[in-house]
Amino acid sequence: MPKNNKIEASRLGIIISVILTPIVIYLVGICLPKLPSSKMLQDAFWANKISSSKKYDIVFVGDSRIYRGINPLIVSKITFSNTVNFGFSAAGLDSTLIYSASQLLSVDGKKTMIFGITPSAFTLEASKNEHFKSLKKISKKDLWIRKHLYPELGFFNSYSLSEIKKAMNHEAYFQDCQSDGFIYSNKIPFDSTSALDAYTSYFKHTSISQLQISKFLNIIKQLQLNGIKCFAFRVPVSLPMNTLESQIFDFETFKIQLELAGAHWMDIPQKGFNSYDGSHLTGPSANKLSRILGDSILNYH
Amino acid sequence: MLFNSLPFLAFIAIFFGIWPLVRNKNTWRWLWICCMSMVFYGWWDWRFLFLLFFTGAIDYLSGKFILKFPSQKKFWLWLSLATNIGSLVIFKYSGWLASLLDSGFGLLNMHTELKNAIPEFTLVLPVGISFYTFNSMSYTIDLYRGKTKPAENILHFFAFISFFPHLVAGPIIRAKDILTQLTKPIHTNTVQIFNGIRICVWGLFQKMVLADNIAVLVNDQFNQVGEHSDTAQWWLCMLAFAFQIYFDFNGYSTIARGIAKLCGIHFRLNFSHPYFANSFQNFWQRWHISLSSFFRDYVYISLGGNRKGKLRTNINLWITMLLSGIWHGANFTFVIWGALHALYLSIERVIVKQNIIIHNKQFKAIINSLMVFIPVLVAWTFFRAKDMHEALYIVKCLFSFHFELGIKELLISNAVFWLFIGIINDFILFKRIKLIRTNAPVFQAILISFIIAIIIFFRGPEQQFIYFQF
Repeated sequence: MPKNNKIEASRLGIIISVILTPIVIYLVGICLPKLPSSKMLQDAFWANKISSSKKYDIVFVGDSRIYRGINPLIVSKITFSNTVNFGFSAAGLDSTLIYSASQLLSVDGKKTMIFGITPSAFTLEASKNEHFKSLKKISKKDLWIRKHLYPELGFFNSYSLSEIKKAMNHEAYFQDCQSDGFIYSNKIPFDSTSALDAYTSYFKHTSISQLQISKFLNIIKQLQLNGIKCFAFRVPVSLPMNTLESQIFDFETFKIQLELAGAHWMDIPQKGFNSYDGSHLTGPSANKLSRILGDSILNYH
Repeated sequence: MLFNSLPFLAFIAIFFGIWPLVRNKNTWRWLWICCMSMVFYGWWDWRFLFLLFFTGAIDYLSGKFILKFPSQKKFWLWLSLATNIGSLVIFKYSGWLASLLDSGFGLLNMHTELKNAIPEFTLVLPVGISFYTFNSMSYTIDLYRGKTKPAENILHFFAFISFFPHLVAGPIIRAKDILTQLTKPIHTNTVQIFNGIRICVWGLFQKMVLADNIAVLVNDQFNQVGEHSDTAQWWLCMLAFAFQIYFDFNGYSTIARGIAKLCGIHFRLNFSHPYFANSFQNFWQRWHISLSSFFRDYVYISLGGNRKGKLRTNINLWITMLLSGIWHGANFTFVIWGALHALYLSIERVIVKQNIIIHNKQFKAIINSLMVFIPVLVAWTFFRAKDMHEALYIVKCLFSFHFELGIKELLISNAVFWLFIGIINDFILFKRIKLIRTNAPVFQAILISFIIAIIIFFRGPEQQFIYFQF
């Protein structure tokens, strides 16, 4: 091809690419099934959670059962306080996490920390707090991008083929991220046994660390000395999961140790909640648990 | 700043917004390249810039003095080498060397804590240090050997070493290839621009769609070391890693070439379908070509190459490959990776010269490629594993012939789908098979648009480029 023709052809190619690309992106974007939850919004949610500088009266601390199980809005309304959910995936109740949570307490507020107790929170694996630490490592620039740009880029969510397949089969994992650290969750189809096998196998290889428990109790003593009221409760799960965890973890002894350390144990009913996988509560059950907890806190305050 | 990030989109828009105004104005061109490259590099951590300035200034001055004082040129060369290798040793290897010495003294019943004694700032690895120190060293070595002309001023020199497309992860470029291109006024025509866009899009597809989606499988498997020993799953994992690292690094190099082309500058190819190599020697002529040729020209040939007999050739080969291994990282796993490749090359020199008797040409080519590819996969185990314990566990699994059923689930995963697409695609490109016999601009434009849409909607979870850690 003569040089001039090549130049003309390339110019045409550039012009067509510039015009066509936004059209193709738009068409592909609207043809793809809508995802039940936006990954970019989830990234923005975690960026907001890890970098929040707001101060609160009540802080909930724990793992995914907490961030999917406690709706701070409901607790706030019942207790007339500012409440936040500071739960992270596979979190261990260790000093790093608890110290960061305590920084969210308002100096002249109710200064209350509430811990969701799960056996896995006291394993050595959980004490690594990988999710929490990985979020902490994100640079300020990236956090800014996630917090301010990602919410505007929901259209550009990425898809995996399995997500498309699931969406076409009307299977969905709804995760509605709220600004106060809570994720209103649900799953279709609902299978309250799906997490049981994973937990059974996990506890075959992993054991509860007594050292982690005693470290936690020491932290509780320290928090009380600093004028922070500490509460703890067992997060409701499905009945088979409850049975499994009761065999692994002695909740009764833990309750006594915790109260000796100066914290309050809240006896939350373990029945009457729905879990979509056996481990995490559905949105409506999370709201129910939040109401029960709100009432309990009100009694103590 | 990653090529596949939102800040880079803004950066590149600003860069090319101003570029047409400065590309034909000598001083402004240098200044613009230097300033923007510093912004690009300083985006990670502005403190890294000091090291870049320091090593760059030493190399520039050494280059000047090599020419000005020919009788002392050896001294100035050694000063440049010592500065670059010294920075690498301090920032990349000091922790590792200190722990090695601690262990060594421990064997002699002497308790030392050298690792805790080294200054804290050396524990941070400046991004891309291995690449820009090598770029810089190639300049002084080539000047010493009389193979290149000196940079006319310090701006030329910094524009060459800090030119952002190649700064943090290569390709390692030679002064003689780039300085001459940068010194002339740059004219870019629409053919180059269109080609540059196509190359960039293709590189982004390799990185963001192929490598990042495949990475999910690899990372999951490596998180399960010790939990299962399924031979089939580990072979699949290593196959996936081989292509993950290829698409990741080739993706980066391709984007770098594309951006350079948009600036009117030509970078050489850094990869040429390495997994279809028919010998280990051929593999190294196709994999990370800029690094392989650096080691060939500056280490292997400097040691005497193959000119001093069989034994010395093998010794030179081993030294080169071990250094290449250590260049990748301060860990025994990289040393073993380099040693394995040295072993393969040594064995190949002895055995493969005797031809295997297979008459069917295509079948012979497949057998040859497999005989290279499988040992390369085994060597990748050491490259990817975080320590020797992990690497040996996986190698044991690869050869234990213990089969479970886990692979069924993996085979229908998203990662395997993109792995398959990647392999087929690389084969098509290798064989130069033309699926559609047209180069019409409309067709090219449609292809670009669809690939961009695929990148946006099917990108994998964002991962840093693997070679940034080196």
